[in-house]
Amino acid sequence: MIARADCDCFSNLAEASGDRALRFALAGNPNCGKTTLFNALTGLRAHTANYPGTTIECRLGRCSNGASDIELLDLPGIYDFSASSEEEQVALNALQGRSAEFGAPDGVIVVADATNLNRSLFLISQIVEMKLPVVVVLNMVDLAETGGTRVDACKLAAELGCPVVPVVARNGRGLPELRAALREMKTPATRNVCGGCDGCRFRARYSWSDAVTKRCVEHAPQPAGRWTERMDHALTHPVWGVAAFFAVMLGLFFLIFSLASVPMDLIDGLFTELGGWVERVMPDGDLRDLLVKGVIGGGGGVLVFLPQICILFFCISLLEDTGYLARAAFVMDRLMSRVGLPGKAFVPMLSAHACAIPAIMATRVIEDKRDRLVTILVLPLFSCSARIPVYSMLAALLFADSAWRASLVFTGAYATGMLAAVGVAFLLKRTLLKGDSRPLVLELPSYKAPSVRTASLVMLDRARVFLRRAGTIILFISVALWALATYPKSEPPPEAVALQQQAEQHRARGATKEADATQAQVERITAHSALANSAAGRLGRFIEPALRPLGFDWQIGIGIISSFAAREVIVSTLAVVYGVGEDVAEESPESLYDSLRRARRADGTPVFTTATCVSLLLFYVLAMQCLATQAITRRETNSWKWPALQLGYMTLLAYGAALAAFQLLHACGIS
Amino acid sequence: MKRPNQETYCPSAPRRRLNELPSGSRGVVHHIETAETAMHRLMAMGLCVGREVHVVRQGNPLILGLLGACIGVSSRLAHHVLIKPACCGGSHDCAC
Repeated sequence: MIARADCDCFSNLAEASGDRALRFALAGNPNCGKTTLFNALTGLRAHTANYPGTTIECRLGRCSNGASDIELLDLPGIYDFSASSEEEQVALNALQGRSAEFGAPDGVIVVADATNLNRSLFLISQIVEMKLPVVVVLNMVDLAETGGTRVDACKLAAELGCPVVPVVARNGRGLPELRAALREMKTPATRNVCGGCDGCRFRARYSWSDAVTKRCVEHAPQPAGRWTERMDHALTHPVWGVAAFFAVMLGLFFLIFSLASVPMDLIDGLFTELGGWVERVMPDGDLRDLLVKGVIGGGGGVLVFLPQICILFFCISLLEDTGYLARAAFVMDRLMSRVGLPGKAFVPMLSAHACAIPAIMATRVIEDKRDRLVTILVLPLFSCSARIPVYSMLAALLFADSAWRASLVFTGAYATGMLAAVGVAFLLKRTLLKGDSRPLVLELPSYKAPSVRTASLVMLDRARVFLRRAGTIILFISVALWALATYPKSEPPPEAVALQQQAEQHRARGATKEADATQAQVERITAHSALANSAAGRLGRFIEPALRPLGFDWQIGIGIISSFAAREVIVSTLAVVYGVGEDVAEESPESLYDSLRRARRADGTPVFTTATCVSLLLFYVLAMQCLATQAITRRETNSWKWPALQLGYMTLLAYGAALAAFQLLHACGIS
Repeated sequence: MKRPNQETYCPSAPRRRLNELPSGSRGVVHHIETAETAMHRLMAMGLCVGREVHVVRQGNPLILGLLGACIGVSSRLAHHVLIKPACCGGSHDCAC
């Protein structure tokens, strides 16, 4: 019964707007299928931006009604136009032509949920009062019919005074009719639903919605879906619901870890190959070094995050579409509210164990601005996958001979990160970002089959946002850090020069094996001395007095500076400063651990004592040390203030914890 | 299709808070004590003085049936809603 119901004649809009593309805004309740309709109309011809001055995303797309081009603006999903929230304010501004991104709209497409018209009518009643041309899209008519609900589109069109088009956005049914309707929109005769609003200001609107629903909707009583009810009963249960949530999340992270590792290794291998190729074809020099270590290394460092971001957002979009994510937020709300955060903060917090970047991007589901900021600020404290190489190294240094003790190191590190995050969130909610967590008010939409198309578009969109906004910053800083570790240049040390001569003598004698071994030694010594004399090395020496109470020497200082952009870099930097050589460390980590164990200070005592290792471990659990996260925090909060605070408090926390641990262990005589 | 009669509630019935009603019960909103943003959102979702509300599942958070949809609500917000229990027993339409 897909047919456009217009029981009136309509003026031609294209004439009124001249030659420019028509501008339509797309409005509707959350969960009414608005985004599905937007995707069905625009497909890939859409881009995401922020509404000026806010962190609310707006999606702009282009489509056609057959006669002229249409610019389509997806408004935030809202229930009401009272401007009590930022989303409502943004939607109101856009409809009133006060949005800089969009200009005054030529009309509004309102999406109504055919399975629950009564509720959609509340928003529709407010939009028809705005004196703009309106088309009402009756979405999900297939689900409504299955449920025994028939909406008379023609009667509804007469009631509202505007065209009503029944569609099924998920499979494209009714879209041609919708395009035709967009050619001929008109302003509905003004009706003021809320004439004598007294008492509850919503009451007159609800009475009107009730009356219109009664006249337009036929509802055949159906035996309600028992199994969905039972399933919902379990999924929202205080105990079973939480258990189900953890099971789903475990599955999600298993997917992220197992699926993402393949493309991540591929990207890593590709960039290593590319670097090797450039090294072979280009003459030795600074430019080659810049390309290989700065640009290609930095580019690989950006792209390697993409698989995790794509998989996470694809899965989250699927879960959201089914209606499960709302249940997850519902059951976690009670636990999270003890910290002062909403239940919705839990999904980003779990995602942060894979990587903080997609997790920070996923905080958009949190409505309250302060709650969202607190969540973003603490997310990097959760142990992400980039910390694993650091934890492995330190666990091996601490307990070389016991696998289960080494696994205790891991567990301890993860638990410390979680405790710190919860503690900091608790403190922030009571000091800087004071305020009760907003009480939960969350629709639990009915279960639906998810749309792979929507999930794919969300995934592409997130990947694009990450590459464009964070990628450029990360690349820039990678190059800067490369420069710091390369300049100023220094002469090879006399020791290396002597060894070089030896290598040449070996070669002259035809002892290639010995020549190669000596040559490798020369390269290690040269690399070590170059790094020690570079700006990064000097900085390491400069900050050594501050690091000494933590049990670190200036060489660990270089590691900390060089891993400022990406924490896992410390492993390869330590390989260079302690003279193992980067390649050897990659091929056999054991040789790196051995030489780190053998490393001695000037006074002959070992560098990596138990106290130093514990202190370094705590430092890496708690320190920021990830530029990509900082870049994404900047992008998501629209200000440098928050990434600066993040860096500041995490560095202080890491320093304090490392200091306390080292001094305590030292005082107890453990070294 | 049956519609709840919005105004039918016992004038003599005791008022209770929304977070005290048993699971499965219905009542008519008598008074809303707070004007905070979250309550505003709930009102836009169908909670309105003089209209019926259905407690699908009590707890913290609890699940309300409003305008044919299920809404999860914090107990501390529901505490600010005073309810008069409806006289008629059940049989209203609600998707929950």
